[in-house]
Amino acid sequence: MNQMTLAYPSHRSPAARRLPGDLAMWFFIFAELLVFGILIIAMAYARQRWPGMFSAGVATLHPVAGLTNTLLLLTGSYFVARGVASAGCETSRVARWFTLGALCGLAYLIVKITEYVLLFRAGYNLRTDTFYFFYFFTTFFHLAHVLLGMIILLFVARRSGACGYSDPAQHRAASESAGSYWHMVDLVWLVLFPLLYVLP
Amino acid sequence: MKTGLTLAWLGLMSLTLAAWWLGHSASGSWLGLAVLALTVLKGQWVIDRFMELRHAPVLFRALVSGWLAVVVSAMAALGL
Repeated sequence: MNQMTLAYPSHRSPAARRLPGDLAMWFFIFAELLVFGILIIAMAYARQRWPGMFSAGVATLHPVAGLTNTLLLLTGSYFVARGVASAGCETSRVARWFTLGALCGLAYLIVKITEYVLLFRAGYNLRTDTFYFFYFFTTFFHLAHVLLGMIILLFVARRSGACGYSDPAQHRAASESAGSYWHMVDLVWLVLFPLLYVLP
Repeated sequence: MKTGLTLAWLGLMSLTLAAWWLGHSASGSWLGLAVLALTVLKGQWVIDRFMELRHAPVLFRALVSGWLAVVVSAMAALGL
């Protein structure tokens, strides 16, 4: 992965502005955001169209699980950001911080799967109604991204720990790419959170 | 750098708890907009401090912030 330095018109000097991570990763991130954006807006539309069904559906979810998962993803993002901040220098702690970030992801998965099991046991599934279709489809799609984010974090953590990056700039670019992807997953969840766990 | 990140983390956790508490204890037509406003604040904090896009080329920050603005505005327009 090459470190990309792009000069765009800006208020600051162009040289001072730098894209964190690989440009390719950012194309991937924008594609993901587009898909999630469409899903979230479609879900908000369905909520407006069938308000009774949505309120009843939201009431069966587990708000404390939703809150816990939001706090876990934010904490994971904080660990990852600390890792990225230490990337490229001699005393790099990328491996340690990224592993902690991935552990937050693991805790998130455990909470989410527990919530799914509770809902399945209560008799709800993807085919129950439009609300549950959106709920299961969107949150499972998001969960798959958390899993991919964990894999990317652990891959970079392992390579960092094994001194697999000879060039500090390359180490920094890889860490920033992994971090940016992880933060995107967090950002999407922050927008899903009010729709499913906060508003009645 | 570290202080800014720690501050962002604590701020994001507090705003999350505040939004959750509002949603589960308050009621009124303003509730949806208040919770969405907190969501924009949190999202922009993640974009600027965690993604580090405040020092990135303007186009990239505008695209991600624009995504947040469009999605949250659509939610508000759809009566959330």
